Order: sequence, then C-alpha cells, then structure tokens
Amino acid sequence: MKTGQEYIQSLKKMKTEIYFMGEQIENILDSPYIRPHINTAAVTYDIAFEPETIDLATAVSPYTGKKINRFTHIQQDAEDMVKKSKLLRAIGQKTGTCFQRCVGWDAMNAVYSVSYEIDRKYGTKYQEKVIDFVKYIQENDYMVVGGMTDPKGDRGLPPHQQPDPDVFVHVAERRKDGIIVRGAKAHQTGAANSHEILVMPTVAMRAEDKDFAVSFAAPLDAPGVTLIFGRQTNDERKLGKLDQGNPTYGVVGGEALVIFNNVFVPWERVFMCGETEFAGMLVERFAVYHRQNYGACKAGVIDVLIGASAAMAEYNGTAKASHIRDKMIEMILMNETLHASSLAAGYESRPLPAGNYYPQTTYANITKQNITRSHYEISRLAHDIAGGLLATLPTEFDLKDPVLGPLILKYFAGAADTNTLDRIKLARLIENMTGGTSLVESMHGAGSPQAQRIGLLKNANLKQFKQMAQKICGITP
Amino acid sequence: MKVGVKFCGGCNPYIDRKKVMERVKNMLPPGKYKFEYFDWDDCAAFIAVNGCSLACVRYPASQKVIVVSGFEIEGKQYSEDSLASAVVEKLSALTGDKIAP
Ligand SMILES: Cc1cc2nc3c(=O)[nH]c(=O)nc-3n(C[C@H](O)[C@H](O)[C@H](O)COP(=O)(O)OP(=O)(O)OC[C@H]3O[C@@H](n4cnc5c(N)ncnc54)[C@H](O)[C@@H]3O)c2cc1C
Repeated sequence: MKTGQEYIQSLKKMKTEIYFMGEQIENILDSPYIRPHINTAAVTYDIAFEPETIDLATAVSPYTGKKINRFTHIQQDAEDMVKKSKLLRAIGQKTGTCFQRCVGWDAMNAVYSVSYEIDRKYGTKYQEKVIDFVKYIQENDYMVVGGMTDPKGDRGLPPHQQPDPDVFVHVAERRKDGIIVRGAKAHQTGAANSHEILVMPTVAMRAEDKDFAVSFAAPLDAPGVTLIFGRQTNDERKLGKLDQGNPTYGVVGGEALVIFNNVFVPWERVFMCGETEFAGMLVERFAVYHRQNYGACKAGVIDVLIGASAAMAEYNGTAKASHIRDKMIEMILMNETLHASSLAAGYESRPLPAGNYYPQTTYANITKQNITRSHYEISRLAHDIAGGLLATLPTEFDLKDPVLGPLILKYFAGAADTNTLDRIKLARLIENMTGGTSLVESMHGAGSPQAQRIGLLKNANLKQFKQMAQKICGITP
Repeated sequence: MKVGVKFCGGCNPYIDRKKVMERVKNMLPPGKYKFEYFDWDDCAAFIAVNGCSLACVRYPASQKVIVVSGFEIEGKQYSEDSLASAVVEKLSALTGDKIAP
C-alpha cells in the first residue's frame, strides 16, 4: 500500500498530457489549480495507515491474500458494502470535498461483475483480464478514473446515428494485438491525478452500436490521451489562500475532459468489445454502485457544512434563536436520511452472479435522488444562517492591506468575544462548499435525477401494491 | 501482549476516540502491550472504540472485549478524561496483568 506521500511521488512519473487556461501543465504537483485535488486524493492513501481507520480503509485481497487499500477492493460481502459507506463519510469529514477515488473503485466492481456475465454467454475470457487488471491496481495501489460519461452529442440519437461518432468512445480499428479507440469521456473526476482510466459505455445499446459497446483500461499517459482540465468557480481564488474556504482540499474533485485520439489498447486490457446487450447492464451496475456513495461521502462533507453553519450562528450571535435551531435540525434530518439510505443499500446488498456484492438498488437510487435535492436545500439553509457576507466579503488581499484590513475587521465583526478573522474564514468555507461547482456534482454525478426515477419505478412492485389495496377495500380482480 | 483495537467509522463521535486510545497507550508499561488494528487473531484482549452509544463496531465473538461506546463502558458512564483509566482497569482484569493506572 502507498502512503499519501508515496502516491504524490508516483504522480511525478506520469507523463499525462494536460491543458488548462490555454497552457499545457507540465507539473501538476506545482499547479495551484490541481494541487488541492491531489491533496484530497492523498487522504484516501494516508487513511489506510491511521489506527482509527485501518479497519475501514483496508481489506484483504481475495486474489493475493495481501492487505490492500479498500479503494481497490472487489466487494466480498455486505460488511464490505457497509464499510464502504462509513469510510466515505469519514473521509468526507476530513476533507470537506470530493476525494475522487470511489468512481474507479465502483467501476472495477461493475466491470468485474458484467465481464463474468459476458463470459458466461459467449465463452469469452474477459473476467480473467479484469482480475489481472484489479491485481495490478491493488499491487501498485493505483488510483483509477471511472470513465463512463461520453459527451453524447444529440441526446435523442443512439451512438451510431450521431453525425460525429467521436461523441461516444468507440473502436476505430480492431487489430491482432488490440484495438484502436477514439472519442472522449467528459467530467472525469480525478483524471489529472490518477494513474489509469477504466472506460465503460454510457448508454444501453442496440446491435448497430457494436463499435461503441467497449470497455477497457488504459494509463492516463498512454500515447493519444489528452486531458483538458475543467474550470471551477473558485479558480482565481486558488491563487490566494483564505478566499478558497478550503485551501488544502479545494472544491469537488477536479474534473477533466479525457480525449482518446486513436489510442491503442492491448487485448489484455479490453473487457467488452461489441457485446451491445451488456452495455445497459454495465451502465446500471456502475450507476447503482456509485449512487450508494452519495449518502456517504456527501454525508461527511455535509457534516462539515452543518458544523460551519452552527459555528457561524455562534459568531453571528444567533445560535440560540429558535428558527436557527430549527434550521440546524432540518439539515441534520436531511443528512442523516442520506446516510441511512446509503447504509441500508449496503446492509441489504446481495451477491451478483459473479459473486461480488451489489447495493440494494432502490435504496441506492433513493440515496442519489435525495442528494440532488437535499444538498441544495441544506446549502440554502447554510446561506440563510450565515448571512449576506457570503456573497459580499472583500478579498483576502484587501484584508492584508494595512489601512483596509482593520476596517474590514471592524465592520465584519460578529458577537462579542468572537474572532472576526475566523468569522470570515467560516463564511468563505460555507461560500465555497455551497457554490455552483460543488452542487452540480450532487445533481449530475452518478446520473441526472431522472435516471434514478426511472430506476425507482422499474423496481417498484406496483402490481403487488395494487393487489394490497384491492384486497383491503374488497375489490375482487 | 497483543491487544486488538477497532475503531468505529466516527460518523457521530461524542468523544475523541483517538485521544482516548493514546491516553490508554501512555498509561500502559512501555513495550509490554502491542496494539493491533487489523490482524485480530490470538489477541489477549480486544478494545472496541465507538464514538457514540450506538456502538456499531463488530468484534470477534471469541474475544475478551472492552466496549467503549461514547462516554460509556459496559453500561457505566465516565467523563471523557476518565475513560482511558477505566479501559486500563478493565484490561488489567481481562488479562490478569497488574497494571497500575
Ligand atoms: C462534478 C461532476 C463529476 C462527475 N464525475 C464523473 C466521473 O468521474 N465519471 C463519469 O463517467 N462521469 C462523471 N460525471 C458525469 C455525470 O455522470 C453526468 O453529468 C450525468 O450522467 C449527466 O450527463 P450529462 O452531464 O451529459 O447531462 P445530460 O445527459 O445532457 O442531462 C441533462 C438533462 O437532460 C436530460 N436528458 C439527457 N438525455 C436525455 C434523453 N435521451 N431523453 C430525455 N432527457 C434526457 C437529463 O435527464 C437531464 O435532465 C460527473 C459530473 C459532474 C457534474
């Protein structure tokens, strides 16, 4: 297993081609835009060595019998699925933001399970290759990007009918030794500071989409892979410190557009190639694994937000007001509901045909559906409690000015005996945790809200419910 | 002597679990006890450190266990500061080892 520092050192060896603000970033470790995301990912490594989290953050590999970082584990039982939820909350509490590494973890579990089912139908040998890849990741303790979302072009058209086929990753050429892939994956969390990407299809497909039904793994610095790092609302803040709110760990995960321009992938790393009827299954598997997490990592992040709001109320002198206490209750209610459904999805998880455990689908969908609302609502309450200074505070540079600084401290003072600079820090934390970039992740990550609603209806036993009602009111069918 | 230690996830901690265990460690004679956080086979005793009264930590049924659950140890309330010495006392009773707290 790697420590956080060893993980950071390992990134130095990567030759990932990455661009931001019109320039190529040669050294991501020194980039103020990317560094906070690296620091956050490093926590997923360090936490595996801390006594109070070793049990949550490590597991024993079923393939090598060695102790591994849990972020590389194939889920063996319901306890693993519960520990996943608790681990993510614990890291959210430490970082206050997305720590990126769960996406690739879920992708490995999803691909592991579906490759087994493809093999069962076609006699292919995909799962062996997936296990080889998983072992490679476990042995090196690498960070993997979960590459599902294609740019998708016209959402009303299937992949093969898109005017530009590159809006879906596809096989451009089949060779004896492997495949050439072209296209892109959008919004890829942690891509700038990961080692590998595990690509999966993003929609269910039909026979004509054969070339688009592809799953594979590739190093992020493979020839032909280019990253364009995404802009965040707090980019400029990263050139300072205090105004970032969370200067060490930043906001969300640091997403990038990952472009595959005729990238060669050897057959050993190809896990699906043309089996279109399994594309939808893989999308659902990954999505359900990932949806469980939103009541875990976000519960930890929201713990920090609730704490910041409670502290802010004290600085404002409003902590005892009944409506403030009521708002704190609302925040707790929503957050613990999120975590409860994530835990339930874990406790009620079941083995898939491949043997690895899978969250209870409805509870995972509920978890994700609720975060698309609750995170916004909790943020609204945090804004309400904190006050308008969230939007109007002067900059940290004015604060440092010998004339303006004291004026800012004088006029932004809160309750007696509270430190005004600390009040400003809290305001910045709340502002950055509830800004655009942070919230959109809760809306669209692991699929837009409608995707969960479709899942909820699909799995609801309406026929039975109707019969229950009919029986009670005396209707004979 | 090998003593197993397992912490809960810490979603709702009323006590500083890490600090409590650091205190326990400091109260024990140096070098005599080895805390083990992962491989719990053949432990002389096992300490389950829960942040709240829910006490979600699971432990091997075969172990001699001390369960800290927030301010409570086995039904008795302690202040946060006195939790560590209570743990040491229980450890002494479980292992038959005379440890002066
Ligand atoms: C911060 C962040 C991090 C992310 N990280 C990752 C990651 O690590 N890996 C990854 O693979 N993805 C990641 N995603 C992508 C995420 O899964 C997608 O954003 C999500 O699936 C929605 O896709 P989209 O953004 O293309 O929006 P769209 O699909 O365009 O959705 C926009 C709206 O259109 C609706 N819509 C879309 N298609 C149709 C249709 N055919 N018919 C009717 N309505 C439709 C949707 O329901 C939604 O209301 C991330 C996203 C964010 C914001």
